[in-house]
Parts: sequence; structure tokens; C-alpha cells
Amino acid sequence: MSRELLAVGLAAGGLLLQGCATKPVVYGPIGPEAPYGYQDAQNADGGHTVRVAMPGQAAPEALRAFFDRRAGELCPAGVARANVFRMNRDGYASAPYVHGGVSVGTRTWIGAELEGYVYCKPEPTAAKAEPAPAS
Amino acid sequence: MRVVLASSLCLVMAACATGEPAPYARPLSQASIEAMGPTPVSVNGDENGVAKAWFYTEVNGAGAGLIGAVAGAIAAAIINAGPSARAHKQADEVADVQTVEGLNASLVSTVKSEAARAPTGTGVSFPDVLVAYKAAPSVTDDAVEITTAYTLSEDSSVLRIVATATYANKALPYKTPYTFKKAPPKSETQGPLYRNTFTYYSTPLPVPTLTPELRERLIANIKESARDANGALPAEGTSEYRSMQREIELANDNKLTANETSLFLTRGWLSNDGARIKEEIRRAHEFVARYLLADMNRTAVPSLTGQDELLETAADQRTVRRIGRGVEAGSYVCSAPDVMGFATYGNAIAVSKRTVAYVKDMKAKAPKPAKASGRKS
Repeated sequence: MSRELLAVGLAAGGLLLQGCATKPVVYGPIGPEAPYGYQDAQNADGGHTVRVAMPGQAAPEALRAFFDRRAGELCPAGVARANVFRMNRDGYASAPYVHGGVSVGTRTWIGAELEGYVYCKPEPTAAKAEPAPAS
Repeated sequence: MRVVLASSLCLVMAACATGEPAPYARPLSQASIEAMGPTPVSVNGDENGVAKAWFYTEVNGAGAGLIGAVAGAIAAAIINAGPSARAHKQADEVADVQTVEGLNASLVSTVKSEAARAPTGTGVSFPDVLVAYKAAPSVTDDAVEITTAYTLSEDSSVLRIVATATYANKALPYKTPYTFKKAPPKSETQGPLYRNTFTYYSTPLPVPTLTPELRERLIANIKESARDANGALPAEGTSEYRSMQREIELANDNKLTANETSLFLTRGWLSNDGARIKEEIRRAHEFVARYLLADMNRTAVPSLTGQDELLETAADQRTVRRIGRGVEAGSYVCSAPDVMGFATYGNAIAVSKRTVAYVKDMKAKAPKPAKASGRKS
């Protein structure tokens, strides 16, 4: 009986811990299993829009580092111009309930985002086209 | 059993309350544009002037019954007294250089100039632009209404200006352009024919780094703010004294909070007779006027799953975007370039005493809602 109780307790504890666990921030594209990372799209004007998402406590420098790294990958010949136009941090305020005493509300940051445009330097032409042989 | 039934009912009701989302923006159809033609603009008199955002900390003492509630209220007063007083003082300082009537006049004048520059011909145009305060909330029929909100961020690094434009006409009811799996949500069966928002973010002021000298200035500022009308510091044991002590403790914690930072940055907006804040407001009004008129002659229906569009990049790299996805799809955002940090807007705003008095006076003089009307037929 005590073993069963222990197993149930461990399983419940595991589930609770899993609920609290934050997905690690790994550099890579955002996807169904990766809420943090980068996402980008090519724009009509030739530039790219790059969005970076991280947990709420992330520092602005961390978001910017992901942005610069992705910009470098998108622009093998170098970045001509980058423009970060948005940095947001979303959160909520909670007033925890404490029986028999006064509790002070806390502010929890749930997510941080950065978005900007990246324009690449033109790629150097690989090789001059061979002139067509005279017929 | 009753508890289970009540809980189930709550869940069912909660599920029903969540309708299918639709973008907030409501574009006009070609037929509506032609029917509207020249339409007057009514700028709703701004009610808060340049408000100062701050964060109100909730305190919960209800667990201990009435005593707990009273203790919670006292604790909330102590915790929030400093940040609230600070935000209100800053709102007062800003209102000294940028009045609410100045904001209204600037927007009216800019929309008029933009309307005069627009090519004449078919489509929506703005032949007349007026500012109006209302005695009570109401919808003006057959006039484009612009409502504004000017907010300094918690740390005062950014001024955010949001303008919401609406147009309602009893003769032209709104018909949703979206299809829904079930019946359209109630919000999509009523309301204005046209609606959109235009958001402008100022160039951010650089946030200072905490140094021992800055900390001393901060503490001096806290003491200065705590002095009464006679210049005396609060007496020991009073709630004002406890509030001041708490502020000083926080100032010594080696972290510069947004509220503390605002003490230094608000002044950055006010130097040279508020030249910086006035310039940002001028640019914001130009952005609103230009894109509002263009948007009211545009028929594209926003989608929840579209893509952002870059509409303009100014010489200083400031951009104008049309949001492409989510409930904000279709709205316009004008952003400063090279943003380096977060700007947050708290959960409360402080409005200057001057603005409160002016708005109260204007509302008292305003005609009753039934008399408010748009163009004369």
C-alpha cells in the first residue's frame, strides 16, 4: 500500500513539475514544440522580417543576439541594414490568496518578443557567364 | 450535487461566451465609400491629456475577514502611495508644457491640412473638422469620430499615441464581411460601419544606468516628493512616513525600476519648453491624419491569418506597418527605428489636475447626447 502511495505521489509530483517547467531557450526556428526562437519571412521589398520570442524574463540583449544571429544567416554576404521596430514584454498581475494574512500581488512576465527588418548586402556574382560560342 | 450543477453551468456559459474572433478593424465597402462621400470629422475632446502609466500593486487581505480587508487596504495604500504620487506629479509637469486643449487643437489642424491636400473627387473626404466634448458617452451619427489616448510608458522612455477612428450611420448598418462556423458573434452584428486604430510609438529616450550618484538623486527626489505643503517631511509613525521609508528601501536595492527611471526620463521630455514631446505629437498627428484618410478609401478586408505590410520607411528609418494577423489585423503602427528595450504601460494611468479640471468644465458645457449630431441634412 505504501509503495502504491509512493508511486502515485511521485507520478503526481512529476506531473506538477512538468507543468512548472519552462521550455529551454534554444536557438532555432519557432515550431509546435519550440515556442522560443526565431521566425522569419521574406518581404516584397526584398528584406526579411525576423521575429524572436523568449520567456518573459529574457533580457533585451538576449533577444537582440538571436536577431543578429539570424540576420547573419539570412545574409551570407553581410547585413546592409537592420531595424528593430518592436520589443514587447507581456505579463499579468496576480494577487495571490493567503489565508489569515495579507498577500501582495506580483507581476509575472509571460513572454518577450522582438521584431525587426533585415536587409542583406547584395551577393557577389559567383562567376561571369561564359560568352556563347560563335556559330 | 448543486455545486456540480452550478460548476457545469458556469463552464457551459464560459464556453458560449467565447465567440469566434474577428479583426477589430472594419473597412468600408466601395458602396459605403460612395454613399459617404464628403463627411465631417468630429475629434472627441481628449479626456486624459498626456497620461502617465504606472503599476498598481494589488493587495489581498480578504483571507482574514474584515480585519484582513482593512489591513490589505492599508498595505495597498502604503505600497501604492509613492508610485501613484510620483506618476501624478509627472502628469502635472507634462500638462504644464503640453495642455490637453493643445493636443485637441493640433489634431484638428493636422487633419484639416491633410484633408485639404487630398485630391478632390470621389470617395470619402473631410470637408469639416471640429473638436467636441460630450456630456456622456454617445455615438455621433454620420460623422467620423476620432478618439485619442496619449500615454507615457511606466519608465517614461516612450510616448504612445493611439487614435481610434469610427464612423456610424443609422442609414448604413454594419454587415460583417466574415463568415463564421455558427451564427456571427453579437459584436459582429452591431456597432460602427467603419473602425480602425492608429498607434504611434515615439523615439525612446535612453534609459539611464544606476550609479551611486543617480541613487542619491533618486533618494533626494523621494524625500522631496514626500514633503507637505509647508516643506516638512512626514512624521514618524504616519502612513506617509512608512510609504517614504519603503520607497527609500527600494531605491537602495541596486535595481532601477521603471517607476524610478521615470523620475529622470520625464524631465527629458520637458526640457526646452517640451520641444521633444511636441515634435513627437506633431509627427503622430500627421501619421494619423494621413493614414486615416487613406484607410477610409480602402476596401481590403483584413484577415486573422494575413501578413504584416511595410507601408513606409521615413528618412530616419521610422516605419509604418499595417498589421496582418490576429484581431489587430488591418490596424496601423508607426514605430521608431532601432528599439533597444521594453516599454510597458502598467495597469493604471495618472492624469494631471489641470486636465481633470479642464475636461470637467468642457463636459459641463457640452450639449446633451441627444442633441449631438453629425452633418446637417
